[in-house]
Amino acid sequence: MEDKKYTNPLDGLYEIVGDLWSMEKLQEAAEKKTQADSTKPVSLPASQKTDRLPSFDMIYKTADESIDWTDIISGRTLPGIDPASKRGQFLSGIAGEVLAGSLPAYASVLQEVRPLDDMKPYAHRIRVRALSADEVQVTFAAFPEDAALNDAQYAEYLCGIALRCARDIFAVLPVTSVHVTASAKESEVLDVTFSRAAFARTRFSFIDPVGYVREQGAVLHV
Amino acid sequence: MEPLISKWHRELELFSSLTPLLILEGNVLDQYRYPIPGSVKEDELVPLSRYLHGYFSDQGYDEIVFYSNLIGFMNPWSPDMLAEYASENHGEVKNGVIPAEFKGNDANTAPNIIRRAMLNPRKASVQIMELASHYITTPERMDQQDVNSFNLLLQAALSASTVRTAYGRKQNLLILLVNKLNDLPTWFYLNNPVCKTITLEAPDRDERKRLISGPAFSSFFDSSVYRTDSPYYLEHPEDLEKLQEKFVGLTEGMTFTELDALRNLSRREMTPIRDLCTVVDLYKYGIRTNPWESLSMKSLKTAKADLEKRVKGQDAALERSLDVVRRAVTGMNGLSSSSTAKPKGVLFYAGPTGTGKTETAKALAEKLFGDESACIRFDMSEYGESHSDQKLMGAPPGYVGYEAGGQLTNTVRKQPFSILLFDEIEKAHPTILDKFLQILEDGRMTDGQGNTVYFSECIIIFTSNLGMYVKDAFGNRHANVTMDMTYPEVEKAIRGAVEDYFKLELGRPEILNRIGENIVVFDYIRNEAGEAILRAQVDKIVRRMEEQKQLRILIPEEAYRELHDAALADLSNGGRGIGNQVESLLINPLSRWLFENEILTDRTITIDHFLTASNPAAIVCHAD
Repeated sequence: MEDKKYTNPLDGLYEIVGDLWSMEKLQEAAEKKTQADSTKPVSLPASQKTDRLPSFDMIYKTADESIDWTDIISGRTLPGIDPASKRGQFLSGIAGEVLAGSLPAYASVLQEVRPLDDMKPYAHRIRVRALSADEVQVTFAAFPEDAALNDAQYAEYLCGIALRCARDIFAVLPVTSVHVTASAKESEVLDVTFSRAAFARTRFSFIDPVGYVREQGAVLHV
Repeated sequence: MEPLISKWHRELELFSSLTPLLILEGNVLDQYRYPIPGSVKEDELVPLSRYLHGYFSDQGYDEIVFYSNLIGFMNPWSPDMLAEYASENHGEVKNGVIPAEFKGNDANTAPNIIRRAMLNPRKASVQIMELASHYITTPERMDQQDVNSFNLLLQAALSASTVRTAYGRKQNLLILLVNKLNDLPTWFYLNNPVCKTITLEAPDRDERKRLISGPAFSSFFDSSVYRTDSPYYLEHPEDLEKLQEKFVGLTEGMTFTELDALRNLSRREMTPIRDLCTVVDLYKYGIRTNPWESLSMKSLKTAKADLEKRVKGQDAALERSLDVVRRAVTGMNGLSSSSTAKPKGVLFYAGPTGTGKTETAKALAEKLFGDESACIRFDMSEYGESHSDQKLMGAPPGYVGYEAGGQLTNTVRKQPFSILLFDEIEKAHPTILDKFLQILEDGRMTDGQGNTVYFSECIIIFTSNLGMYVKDAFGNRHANVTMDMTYPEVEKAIRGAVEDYFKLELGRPEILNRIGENIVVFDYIRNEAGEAILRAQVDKIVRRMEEQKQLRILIPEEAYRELHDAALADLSNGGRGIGNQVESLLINPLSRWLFENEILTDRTITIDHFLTASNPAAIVCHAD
């Protein structure tokens, strides 16, 4: 465990390079998109290629299964996790450090659980960094604004991905806030901080993602 | 941590090796904490069936099956055991169950299969009959097939085999899980030497403490909350201990399932560790902020002066009442007892009529909860019949009015933060006093519909005219107190008479014990208080006339003296008597005069004289 924890030279940093989103593919997707019926519900090209992927306007409505760290240290049985499995042993071994707010432990969890891997089809260069025991920062490169969507759809895409990323981080780490920054063509297009307490009160099936993200004080350049 | 093993578990351990028929009755629908490491994780909360499966598996039984009359035999945790049970006892597994009716004539009814298994000397088996209360309608109305089925079970228990296993000799067992023992026919268990009844209770104090302390404590909190808050409590274990003790006290009477719901609620609401106990209020009453805790000390410091504006001449009684409130607010009401689930306070108001007993209760409600409608009054003279307890607590299932619930239980469920005023308690039927005993002791009551109602946020006030009169040896009534007695004399005489009533006349000293030292005796309305009451009532009338009718009523001092002398001539009826005098000497003549002179609004009327001796009383007035 100790060896594993310090393999990452930047404590708390975890990065996913979304290999699906090369600029060429984006361009190709954008061209296909402009030919499509504009009234049809829009989804990203990746989701068109893979039927199982939800479209970006649905992605924030769900989230990864949460890890109940307090249940783990209290010795309760976790639904769906065999305590004898590699995952079960990893979680119970590191729970105390995670609840003590150890940043290396956070990084280990991110490396092991890889909560944002399922975001690869939707964004590029997703990076997660634990800024403190309370706050995690997520940055991602969005596909270019002019690629496929109109302004409203593009805003919905950005906010949907941001919400989902934050939900997935809250699900695996006991942090109180997640700071999400999105950039496109080297410029920042979204900057928002989400609080865990607000998320706990939110019914994500019923929100307008753009309105909700703006309510959290987001800076959105679309 | 040391294993904490419940009484019923110890009984199960002991009697499962001695008697082949066990009846587990009581809290059988609850979850239970598995106390020892084994096939179920130690301290894990599991349903009773899972608990029993784990326990008997660890004991080395070969076959453990669960029977439900709607489904048949099953074993969701060990399908192999079920298959083996079927092959041993001529059953057949279909879709994961062995279908079997509870009654019938063929050889594959559940009692026949059970009988074969109980007689089997090769396999140690436990058959657990779940929801056994529901196999028959009532024990009094069993048909012959019902009787035969139970008879087969009885015979199975009487001739059960003992089996040699790798874990030692094991008795084949039949276990029935019932809500109440009398859901079964009496002849099945009474005077039955092979039957043992084990009662399952709600978790006791130690069990509740176990659930909220040690490693289990963290599971009550969201991970981020625990990470943020726990360092303080690690450094201040004494504060943690206090918090856990308070939680244990507040959850008295709750089942494991309810405690688990509290755990989930606390996590979902992201409750900070310091606010853990607010979850209990949220669960019981649906509110997060307890009105008792939001009362300001500043407001309470002026409480006596505020109460005196409404209740005159009862200095000692108000002080005694406020003592109870202060105890409740400072959280010291439970210090002298082990239960913090008791009502916030209990007061027994005694004394002459019309001295402000009801008014004090209303004034307290307004002070504490901001609205005098939080004082809920029950006239106990309406509950003088033996069946009146059903009116208060709700009728049991099958009786008329069952759906409506009880007047008291419904009210408290809707308004848990209130003052409950039981007027003229001595007029209630004695069976109702038994119900009050439970409320005063445990702070909760289960109504006819099975809902638990909590009284732990209420102040309960009983009023009574006991002690005003006493009977002599010949049964004649005599006044026990008179107006010429001083307050200490009145208090002593009334307190003594109240105590005699409960101890000697009613023969229920335990009720007196629950009231403790909280008998508050109200004094007669004496001259000074009477003058204040009269002045307050007249001022109120004058003010309202001006506000509502724009009629300005002037009463010169000379005329006021006439009213004063007549209204206060007899104070034996207390403040209510003064109110009656004001009505007959001022309100009635004034309204008559206004009517006769056709004055409806916007005038100034001066009352020159009160003709108190005339019949009816009259006034001499002029209007400007």
